This record gives sequence, structure tokens and C-alpha cells, in this order.
Amino acid sequence: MPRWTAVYVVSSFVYLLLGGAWGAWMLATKGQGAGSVPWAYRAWHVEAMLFGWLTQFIWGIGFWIFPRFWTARPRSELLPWNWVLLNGGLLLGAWGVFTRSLGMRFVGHLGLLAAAVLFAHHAWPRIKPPGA
Amino acid sequence: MPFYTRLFVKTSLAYAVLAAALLALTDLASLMRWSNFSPYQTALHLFLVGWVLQLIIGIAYWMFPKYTQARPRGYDGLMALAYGALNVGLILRLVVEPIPTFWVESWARTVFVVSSVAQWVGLLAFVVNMSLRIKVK
Repeated sequence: MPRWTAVYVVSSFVYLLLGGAWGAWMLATKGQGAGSVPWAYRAWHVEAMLFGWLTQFIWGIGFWIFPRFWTARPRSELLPWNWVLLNGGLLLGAWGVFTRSLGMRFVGHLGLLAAAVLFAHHAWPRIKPPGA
Repeated sequence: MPFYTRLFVKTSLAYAVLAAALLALTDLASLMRWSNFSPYQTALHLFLVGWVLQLIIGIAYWMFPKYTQARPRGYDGLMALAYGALNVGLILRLVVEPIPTFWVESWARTVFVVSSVAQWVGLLAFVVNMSLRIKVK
């Protein structure tokens, strides 16, 4: 697999284990009310699992297996920036969740938005019919 | 397709059906005012863990680079552990979570803890096995 696929997959596994651990803590304390510690920060569980794990894994594998142009993956120079925006956005979003800073969450979510735009820009030309 | 791919993918399809059924039951419970039946979060997790995650696990096990010639797909014991732990955890959750009056019972709290630990152990077993197969070419 390409180097950047490996980077994305390893990062996604980290989020799978961390976000999964938080979810397990939430489930283990089910019934103790929304004020208990893990439930108070459930937004982080949701974002870690949906963006940190699922989206990051799919993007890494997509970069690897989407059709190429002969042997080239066009716009692949965007992948490092995409990774920085995605993971920077997730970290700032987490900071916002744990410090209850809506402004920081907003900045983090803007990072996720920019990453999504960048990945779509990378992948768009690679979604093509055979031989094109 | 290898055995564990077939196992995970077929199981994931079953969870997709189950999750959709539970989602419909959520609406029915609201319509019928069954206040003691609240399966929405269970349906979400059957969808995301039972269906999406297990589909990914099955396909990743099939498609990732080979570990070694002798063990091309890594350690199958870890995949067996991932399958068993994830599904035991999900089924335990399915038994207890939709009925809120259970939540305060001590037996139900024990079931929640066992379910949560089992699901996380399942994730860990999958991650360890697949991490061995991440190879840059």
C-alpha cells in the first residue's frame, strides 16, 4: 500500500481504539445519567468514531484503490495537507469538547470541512470509467 | 473469499437487517407510546458496529497486504477473538439497552460492563492483526 494509505490507516486505528474506549466507558456507565463524565463528552466519541476512524480509514483506502491515471495518483501532493487538516481539526474539536469551547469546536469543524473539500478535490478525477 | 471475510460480511448483512428492524421498532414504540422501550441507540450501534464496522473488518482482512508467506492473513486466532468478542458484546447490549427500567438493576449494570469490555477487546484484536499487515510498497 502507498505510504500515505499506511499513515491514514494507522491514524484511523488510533481513533478506533480511543473513541471505542470512550464509547465502552459510556456503555459501562449507562443508566448513571447524562451528567456522568463519559456522557458529558459524548460528542468526542461521535466525532472520533465518524471522522477519526471511519472517514480517515475510507480516505486512506480510497487513495490506494481508486483508479489511477496509468500509474499516477493525481493531486496526491494534497494528501499530507488533507491529513493535517483532518487530524488538526479533530484535535481542536476535541479540545473544544473537553474545554466546552464552542469557538474551538467551530475551528476544528472548519478543519474537517477543509479536509473533506480537499479529499473530494483529490478523488474526483479518479472516479472514472474503465480506460478513461 | 477467505473464511473470516465470509463470516464477517454475512454477519454484517444480518446486522443491517436487524438495525433497520430496530429503527422501525423505535418509531413504532413512539407511535404506540411504549415508554418502557427505547431501542434507538441500540439500533445506531447495531448499524455502525454490527453492519459498517464488521463489513470493513471482513473486507480489510481479505484485501490488506499479506503478513508472511506462512501466515498471509496474520493470526486467525485474533480474528476469531475479534468476531466472538464484538458479537457477544453487541448481543448483550441488544438484550439490556432497549429497556430503560433494566438500567438501574445491578445485573444489567454488570451486563453493560461485560458488553463494553467485550466490544473493545474485539476492536483491539482486529487492530493488532491488521496492524501487522500494514506494509508500504
